[in-house]
Formats: sequence, structure tokens, C-alpha cells
Amino acid sequence: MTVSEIQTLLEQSCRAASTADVEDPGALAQLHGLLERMQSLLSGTASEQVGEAAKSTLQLIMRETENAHSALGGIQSILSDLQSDLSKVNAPSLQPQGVDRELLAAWGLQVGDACDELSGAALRLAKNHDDAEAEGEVRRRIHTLKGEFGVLGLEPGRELCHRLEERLVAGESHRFVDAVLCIADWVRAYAALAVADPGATPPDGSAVELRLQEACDEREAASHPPAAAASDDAPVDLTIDAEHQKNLAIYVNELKDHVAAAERELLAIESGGDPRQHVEALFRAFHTVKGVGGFLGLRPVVEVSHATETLFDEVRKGRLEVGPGVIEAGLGACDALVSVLNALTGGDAPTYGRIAAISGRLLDCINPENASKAPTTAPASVALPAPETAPVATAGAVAPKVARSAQGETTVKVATTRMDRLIDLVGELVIASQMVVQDPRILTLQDQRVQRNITHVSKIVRDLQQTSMALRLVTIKATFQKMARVARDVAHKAGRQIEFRTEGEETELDRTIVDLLNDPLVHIIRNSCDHGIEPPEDRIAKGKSPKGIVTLRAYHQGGAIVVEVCDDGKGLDRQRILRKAIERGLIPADRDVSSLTDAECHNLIFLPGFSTAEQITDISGRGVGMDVVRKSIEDLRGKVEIRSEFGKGTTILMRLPLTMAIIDGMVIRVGSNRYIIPTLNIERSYQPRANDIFTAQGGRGEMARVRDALLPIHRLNRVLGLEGGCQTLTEGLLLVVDAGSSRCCVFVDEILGQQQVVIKGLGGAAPRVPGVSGGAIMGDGRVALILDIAAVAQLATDIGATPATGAEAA
Amino acid sequence: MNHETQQSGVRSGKYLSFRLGKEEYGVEILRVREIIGLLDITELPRTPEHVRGVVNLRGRIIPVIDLRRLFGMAPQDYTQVTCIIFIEVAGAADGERFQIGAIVDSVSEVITIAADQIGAVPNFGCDVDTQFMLGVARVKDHVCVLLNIDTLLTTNDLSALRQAAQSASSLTSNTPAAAAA
Repeated sequence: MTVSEIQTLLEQSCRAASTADVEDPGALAQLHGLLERMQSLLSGTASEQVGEAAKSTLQLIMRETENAHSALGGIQSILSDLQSDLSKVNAPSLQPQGVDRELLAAWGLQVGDACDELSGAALRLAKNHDDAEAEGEVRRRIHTLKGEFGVLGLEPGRELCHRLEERLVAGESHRFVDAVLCIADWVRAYAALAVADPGATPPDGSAVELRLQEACDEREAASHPPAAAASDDAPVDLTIDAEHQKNLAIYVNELKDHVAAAERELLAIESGGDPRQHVEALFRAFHTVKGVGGFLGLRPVVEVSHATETLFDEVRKGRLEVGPGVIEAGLGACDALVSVLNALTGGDAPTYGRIAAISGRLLDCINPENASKAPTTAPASVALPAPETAPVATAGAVAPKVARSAQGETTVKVATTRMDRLIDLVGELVIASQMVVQDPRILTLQDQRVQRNITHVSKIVRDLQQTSMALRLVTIKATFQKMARVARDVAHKAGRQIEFRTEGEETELDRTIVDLLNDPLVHIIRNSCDHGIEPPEDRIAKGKSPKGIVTLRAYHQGGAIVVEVCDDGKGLDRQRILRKAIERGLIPADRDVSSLTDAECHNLIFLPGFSTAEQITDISGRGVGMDVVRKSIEDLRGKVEIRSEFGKGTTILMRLPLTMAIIDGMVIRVGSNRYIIPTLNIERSYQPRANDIFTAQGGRGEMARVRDALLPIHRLNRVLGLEGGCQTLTEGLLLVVDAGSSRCCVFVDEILGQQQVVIKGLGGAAPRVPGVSGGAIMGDGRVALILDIAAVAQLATDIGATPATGAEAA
Repeated sequence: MNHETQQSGVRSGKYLSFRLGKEEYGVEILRVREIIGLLDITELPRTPEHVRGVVNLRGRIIPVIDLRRLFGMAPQDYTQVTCIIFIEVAGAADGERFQIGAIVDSVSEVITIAADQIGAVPNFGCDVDTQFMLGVARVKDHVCVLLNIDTLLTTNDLSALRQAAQSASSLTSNTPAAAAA
């Protein structure tokens, strides 16, 4: 509740008032809501004026006003007066000098209610210790109170609430009921004083302190015995409070995000960033992890993050230098946290011993002279930090749930199934509206009004489609961050010096694609770091900087997303690739390889079983890798390209569709059938002349000359076993397509057009159809099949191999 | 109501009866989702002959089979009364439910069949696929063959075999007519 909020509200109201139509109750209701909210924030004459405006808006809605337009004009003038007043008042008072009295007054009015609610919840909790809802409410309210005190600058209140909040651990809050009730009374008393004079001395808080201490002692007594029981080798105890079980996935993801953020900061420090810049964020991340971990009752998480937090608190306070040991320990902690989190969702839990060792190592970093002490002494004592020693970051001590919202847009978590259903429905709506728009009877209608309305509807539907598609999009940032870690680890293991850069982290991609992109990227990054970048001494010998640069980049290009991994290493060695390929029998030994273009050579590394690594390391070089990359990318309906210059570096480029749900397709016709071929697969199309076509074996094998290459022709009607269709090659069209491992020509009758289509499955009951990857519903309501070009080419080859099938013979 | 579905059990209850030529068949009414006149069918290339293709049923793509062809009966031109019955069938995995459309000559009526009207499937010899049949019911003066819908899906292999045999013997006779005249 700041002045700026009032200002925003005022601005919104002005806009609403100036655009509102007196006939439109919806817009008026919105205006009314804005005014009421504004009134609650204001006081004095301003509040009265706004109240007046709100009242007359209400009358407008109820149609009680005789001259609606002048009434609206009145509201507008009130608002504009206010705006000019505010801008006058604002200039000096924008600086938050002391406490905003108006705000304070408004807060004073509602804090009493908040205290009542808090007491109510506390009493419910006292009655039933397992009442998770009441417990949650108590904690939420305390937290809110703390935040409000903070905003109003009432430091004593903030302090006390904070102390209480810290001790409210999930499942044990019921012990603090007395303290909570006590604090509610205290807050009420303090609020009454503070509203009159913000600097007033707060009432005596010793009663609250006393209750707090009692409860703490009681809890300590209750919780100590079981903590000692666990042995070092046993997997850590990961029982979650039942109340959080159902939202576990959300919390785990959130924790993973924070751990990833911490990892990113660590890497930033390691790669030469100013520790002071990053350590705050780092500290905050671990602090939040600790908070959420404590909230969920995950002791291992609390233990590790607490130790890490303590370590970086030392750094923050300038008492500790960030050395490689600290970074290692920090990354170790990140790994341990991730493994604990994975265990929550089905993985193996790490042992107590490991957690203790990690914590011990962290603490050793703080006191190097104690390093010789057995690290296992740590676990129980730090399991739950004593509040007195816990470093409290006032900036970071915001509850995890709101920690992220400060960074920008607010987000909601929605079940994916629900979202998919919505997207499906929108897809259906698009088709249905197209069917209406393209209905011949509609098209012949001469009525302007109908046409205008239809255009309007189509536009909305189009916007809706775009918005719904955007729902599935996420930034590629998280994946890029993971890759930074991969690059670092590989570089360490392989003894390379690597600077890892990322560009275009904010590029958005379909969620599924981002998930599935992970594995291929790991392969490529490993390859770049291990095979691409030379060892430092080689680089120096070649006159390069000893530090290799690996760049991971994402950007939009022509309706597709390009993700590329670029290194300035040694590049692909044409001769070595060819030698290996012949050695492994991937190309015949007697083949004249000089005719192969560089691009064709480079593509050889995508063949299964290809590896030029001189020795197999545990990082890469087993000859699985690039073929897997290609397969995964093709599964995503994307394409991989390699660009490389010997000695200068290699770029692996992946072209990916924006979403898995829509493709850009070329609609083609064969006989009476329509098919869709993904535009991504089509290089070009042309009508062949007789002298472009060559045959073999009496016409059974057909080839076309496409620029310098001779490509096999597959007639779609024969491959798919269709009736009819153009029989003479020179009368139809040849599509030059990229069928994954090779190029070929597909012969069709004609191209009907190009359009974006929503991909649909053929229904679970449909048989597997070779060469077809799905279907799409066209504007006329009929289904067109989407062809999988690689599978069509494969089918053509298979049919060629067994020409005796009945249909072919006919 | 008999909601429990068992492969072998033949249950009394309400059946939707339809005709293929002179023969009458029945499917459990609880499995029937919709009956609709013929829609535009998009052919699926290189699929068994009885799979006519896919249709757009209000935004969903659903495969359609021709029961005449599945049962090896002579194909007949589609008429005004030719219908597609959309039926829910069980998929391979547990709990999976798919829709499939079945093209029939005409839909007759909904009949109630009591347990004592239902007899076991007679042994016709190797020429007839009895896996599609749950049982045979005597209804008034005629006989209604009760279909085991769930097997309609899993018969690709069998019908592919038959198709291969047919296409070997008569290469010209099985040219599929253009979908939806």
C-alpha cells in the first residue's frame, strides 16, 4: 500500500472512466471496483471525493441517473482533479520519509480484524493439533503482519513477528499457540499506539518473549531423543508432513529452481564474477531453500542449506575469501540437495553419512583449522538451527512463496492436463470457426454486418489460439543453466579451460520440447568441451587463447527456434572423419570420397557407431551420441545441422518447431487425396522437365537431377498404395525433401497451399499407419493426414526391397 | 445394469441391433456413444482393407472400420441409411478407452435381451471368425449375433492375413471404392 499504488489505481480509474460506455454495466462495475479500492487507501477529502465518484458510478450501473453522460463527466472531473492533486502532493512525499500517515491509518483499521482471525486460527490449532489449515493460516497471518510492519517501518513489530515466525516449524506450531495469542494482543495494542504516533514506544513484549521461550524449551525437550537414533549409513528420513504431500511436486520444483539458481551464482563466482555481487543472491537462495525445507519438515535439506547459508554468510560479512574449496563445497551441497529432492519424487535417498559429510565440509571451509575434526560430528547439532545464531537476512527472509514474485510477472501453477484440455478446446474452436467462415452459404452472404461480425469473431479466435499456444511456452533458461554445470564438470574432468557463454536464455519454447532437449544438449555440450576444445597447451601452440569458448545460443528464425552450440575448438577433421567412416564400414572402402562435400562429410558423424575420439573417456567417445542427438531432435520434428571449419571451431545447430501442437504444413494433392507435409522437410519444389529425369532398370528406378545431385524419386501414390494420381512425372511436381539421413524427391500431383495445422492423433483405436505421423482437421471439416517424410522414404525403400506385394503388382 | 465387462461373459440387457445384409447383429447399448449418418472419410494408406479411414467427429479424429469387410462380406455401395455407430472399446492397456466408428448397412432398434434368450456361439468351422461374437440371441422370429466389440481392434493381424489371401487370389476385385460417394 504505497502512494504509487494509489497512483496506479487512479490512472487505471481515469482510463476506465474515459473509455467506459454508460450502456456497458461491465465496464462501469470495473470502474466502481477501482474507485472503491482507491477509497479504502485514501483518507480525508480525497477519500470522500472518490467515495462520491464511486457512488455515482453505482447509480449509473443501476440506471438511477437521469443524465448518464454528465454523471460520467462528473466522475471524470473528480478523477482528474485528484490526479493533479496527487502529482502536487506526490513530489515531496514520494521519498519514504518515515511512515505514510494515511497508510498507517488504513492499516490501523484492518489490523484489528487480522488479529481476530489470527487468534481464531490459533485457537482452532490448540483444539486440534493436526489442523493443517489452521496452522497454515497462523503462519500466513504472522508472516503478513511481519510484512506490514516492515512496510510501515514499525521495526519493533516486525522484529517480534519475525522471531515468532522463525520458530513456527511445520507440525509443531501448536506448541506456540500461547505465544501467538499473546502476540495478537500485543499487535492490537501496538497498532493503537502507532496509528496515533508511529514513533510511539511499543507495549511491553516480554510476555510474548516468555511464551516463546517456554514453547521452544518444550519443543527442544520433545525433539531431541529421536534425532540421535539414525545411523550414518541409513538413507535419510524423508517423511513429509501429510498436509504438504499433495503439493509436494510443486514444492520440490520450487526448491529445485532455487538450487539451480544457487548453482548458477556459484558458477558465476567461479568464472571470475565479483563474489560480492553474487553472494547475496546465493545466500538468499540457500536461505529460501532452508525455509521451504523447514516448512516441509525435511531435515536433511534444512541441515545442508543451513550449513551452506552459514558458510556464505561468512563470505558476505567479508570474513571468508571465496576459494575453489568454497565453490566445490557449495556445488557439493547443491548436488546433495538435488539428490534429496529427487529422492522425494522416487529416487534413492542419500545416506545420513553423506549429508553429514557435506555439511561438515561446508563448515570446515569456515574454520579451516577444524578441518581435521571428523565431519560426522556435525549432523544433530545443526539439524535445527538455534534461532539466536541463525543468520537472518532481512532482505531474503521473505517466505518462499513470494520470493519469486518480486522478480517480475506473477505466475500460477495449473495442472498440465487442464491446460492441455484448454488448448485442445481452442484448437477445436479454431476449426469450428473456420468451418463457419468458409461455409459456402456464409461466403455468398452479402450482408455487411454479418461479414463484419464474422471477421471480428475470427480475429478473436486467432488471438485466443495464439494466447493458448503461449501457455505451453517456457523459457529455455533453466536448461541453459543446467548446461553451464555440464560444461564446467566436463572441462574439469577433461582438463580444459572453458568459458561457457549463453545467449537468448529468454527464448520461449514448448515445454515438452524444452524437456526433451535436455539430453541431446548434454551430448553436444560434452562433445564440444571434450572433443571440440583442445587442451590449453595445444591451444597456446596454435596461437589461441588457452581458454576455449563454448557458446550456447537460442533465437528465433523464420517461425522456428534455433538452438546452437558453438565452440572455437579444433573443428571437424575431414580426413579423420573419412578414415574412421571407412574403418567402421560406414562408407565402402573403395568409394571415391573426394566427391563428398564438406557438409556430407560432417554429416557422417551422425551415423550410428561413429566416433573419432582416439580414446574412450568416461565423458564421451563411445560412438553413441550424435546419432542419438539426431534421433531426439527428429523426434521433436526438428533438424540438426553442423557447420565446422577445421582449426577454427564447430557449430551444431538445431532447428526446432515452436510448439509440438502446430506445424507449418504444405498441403499437397495426390489423386483425390490430400496430405500435409511439414514445411520444415521441404527444401524446394519444382516441375521437372523430361531431361531432369533419369531411369534405371527399365524405369523401375527413377532419379531426378536437383542442381548438382541425383536424387531418387518416390511417387507418393505408389508408396502409399493409392488409386489414381498423376502418372507422368513431367505433369506433376517434385518436392525435394530432407528425409533425415538422406534427401530424396517425392512426386505429387500439385501443391494446394501452405497452412498451419493443429496436429492430432488418429485416435487410440487407429492401426499404425506407416508414413503417417498424425492428422489435422482442415477448414472443410475433413481430415488430412500428416506425412512423416523420413518414414515415407523408408517405406519406399522397403517396398522396393519386396516388390511382390499385391498392390504393387497391380 | 451390467456395468462389469468380461471378455467371455454374455450379459442380458439392452442391445442396439443393426443390419449387415440380411443378418442382424447387436452391440451393447452402454458402449454406443453416437449414431450418425455417413461422414467424409479420409483413407488411411496401407492399412487392412476393413479400416476405411478416419473421420472428424466434432474435432476429434476417430478411425472407422467397415464391418462388412471385416466379416469378409461382399462390399456394398453406401446408401441413405448407411450409418456409422461410434462405440467405446477397451484399449490394450488397462482402463484405456477409445472410440471407434463401425459402418453398418442400417441401424434397426434397441432390444432387450434376457439371459435365457442367449445361446453360445456355435462352432462354424475354421471359415468363420467366432472371436467377434459373444453369443447368439433369439429375438422373436430371428437371430441376433451379439458382437464382442473389444476384439474389433485386435484383429488387424487376422484380417491382414485374409486380405493378403484375397489380394493374391483376386487382384482386381478388391479395389477400394472412393470414400463416401
